Amino acid sequence: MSDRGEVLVLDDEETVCRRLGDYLSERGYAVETFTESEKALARLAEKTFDVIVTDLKMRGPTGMEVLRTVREKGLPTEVIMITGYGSWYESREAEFLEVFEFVPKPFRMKEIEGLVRRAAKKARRSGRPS
Amino acid sequence: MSARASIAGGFFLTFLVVFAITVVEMITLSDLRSRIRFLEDAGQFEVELLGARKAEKNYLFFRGSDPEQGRKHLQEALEHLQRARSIADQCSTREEAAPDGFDCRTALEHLDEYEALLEELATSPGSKAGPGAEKIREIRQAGRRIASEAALFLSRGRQAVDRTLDRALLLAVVFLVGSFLLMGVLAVALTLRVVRPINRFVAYTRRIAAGDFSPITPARRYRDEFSELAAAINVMLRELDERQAQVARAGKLAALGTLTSGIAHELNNPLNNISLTTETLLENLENYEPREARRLLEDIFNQVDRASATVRNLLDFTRKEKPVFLETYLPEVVLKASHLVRNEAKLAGVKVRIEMPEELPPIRACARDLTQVFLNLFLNAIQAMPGGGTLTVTGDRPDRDHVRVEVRDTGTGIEPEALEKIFEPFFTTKEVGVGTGLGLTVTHRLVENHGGRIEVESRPGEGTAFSVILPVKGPPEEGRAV
Repeated sequence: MSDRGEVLVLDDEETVCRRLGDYLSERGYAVETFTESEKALARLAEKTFDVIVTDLKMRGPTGMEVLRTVREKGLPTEVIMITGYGSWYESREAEFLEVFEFVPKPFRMKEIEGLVRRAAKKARRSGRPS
Repeated sequence: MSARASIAGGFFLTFLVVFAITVVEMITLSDLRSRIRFLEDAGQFEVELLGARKAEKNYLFFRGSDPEQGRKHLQEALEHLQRARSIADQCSTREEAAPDGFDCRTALEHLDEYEALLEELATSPGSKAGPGAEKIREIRQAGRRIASEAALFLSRGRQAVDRTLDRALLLAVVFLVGSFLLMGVLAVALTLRVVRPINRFVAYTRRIAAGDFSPITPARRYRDEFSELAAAINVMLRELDERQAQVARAGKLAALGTLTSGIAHELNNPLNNISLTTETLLENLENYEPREARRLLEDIFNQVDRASATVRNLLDFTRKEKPVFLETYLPEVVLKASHLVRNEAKLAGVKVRIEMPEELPPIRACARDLTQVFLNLFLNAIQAMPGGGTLTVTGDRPDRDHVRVEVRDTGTGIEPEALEKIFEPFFTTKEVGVGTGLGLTVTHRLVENHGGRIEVESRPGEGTAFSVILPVKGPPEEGRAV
């Protein structure tokens, strides 16, 4: 278990997984990256993360479905949603499902790291990750 | 006049006619009743008179031989006359019921005369000789006169009853024929007034259903239900027209929205990747080996290529350049397109077989656009066979006016649910970064522009066949912008 937090990164863009994964690992997070949402959902069934950073629009289950799964299971995990193009409706739906933050692409990794740090603290206050 | 007023007027007229005929018929029947009554009275009157005359004859017969018997007969004659008088009296009180030319008073006067003569006999002292021959002639004359009068009344009464009955019968016939004609006229009038406009409106609704929203013009100038209906339909047509324009605008906006979100997604992803890689490089530039830094920079280059491919496809998608339709040899176009994908085919281990028959006729087409069509189809086919396979291109002529080119691969195939969407913009089954989701949309557009169509047949795991069917004579209207 990492001191700073356990993070799952999900984006069907491999570059995002590689760069963001490296960036967060270098800064002391325990990071797992996935380019396919089915595999990420399977992993979520085994392990509880502090923070999930997920793309919204993907082939297969979308980021919204990942967020919904987290809320349905009542996990203490915080979800940061990144999107190439999100509609007003989608951002409202994500807010309803208590998304931690809705981040448009292109983003800065520094910005994401700041969000992940705050999200991880919030997650650890509200629940005990396994 | 409104249709409602016409219908009400028609029915009111019918009622008036029926009412009038019924009143006349009732009057006739009550006439008939009083005439029949008169006839009965006249009959009874005659019976009494005949009785009186018979008794008078008997008296004259018996007066010599048996005066007592004669007196009895005279008395009987007077009684008959009494009864006849009472009938005639009744009759004179209801004189209005008597037939034309009948005068009760004259009859009564004659009756009085006859009675007076007989009474004179009864009261005169009973001489054996009785009345003289002169007197007897007088009595017989008076008797005959009153009897013939009674017969005349009777026959006149019969004639009157017959006339009244004839009139009643005639009225019934008139009623029958008249109501038949009136109903006929009403039916025709109502048909003209109501059914014809309804038929006209049925024709209007057909026209509207066919999409013609121009206002309809009522056939009459004055206001009635149908002109009001026409006005209401015109209001509806204006609304419909406006709604349809709104729907069309909304459709365009929705298409633009889909396009915009697709573009945003397809451009933001490579931009994001460029941003992330650049950020990585900027943060740790001193720590990177030159070789590693080079790899990151190449990664940036690839993402730039990807973004520009989207822009290029988008330009193809929205291109306003007019296609140039010339006599075109399809085998040449196919060959040129296949040369353009030679490298990709070789890298993927795909064998390309082209079987275009020599006898295919030249078609009117834009060679540049068709080259792009086949280039897109060939690239799709090659990308569907990552582990190698065979790309087969065959040509034939399904009928006199069309030629067909089939592009068949032995690749992964397309799932049935995806098959419905493959021509939609930004729909792709390819890996992220490989397809823009615009290739088949552009292809479809270009083929449609030639007046042709694309058919697709696919079995997952076995492969896909696209058939491009083009008209030999080119598109019906040439030169539409893509």
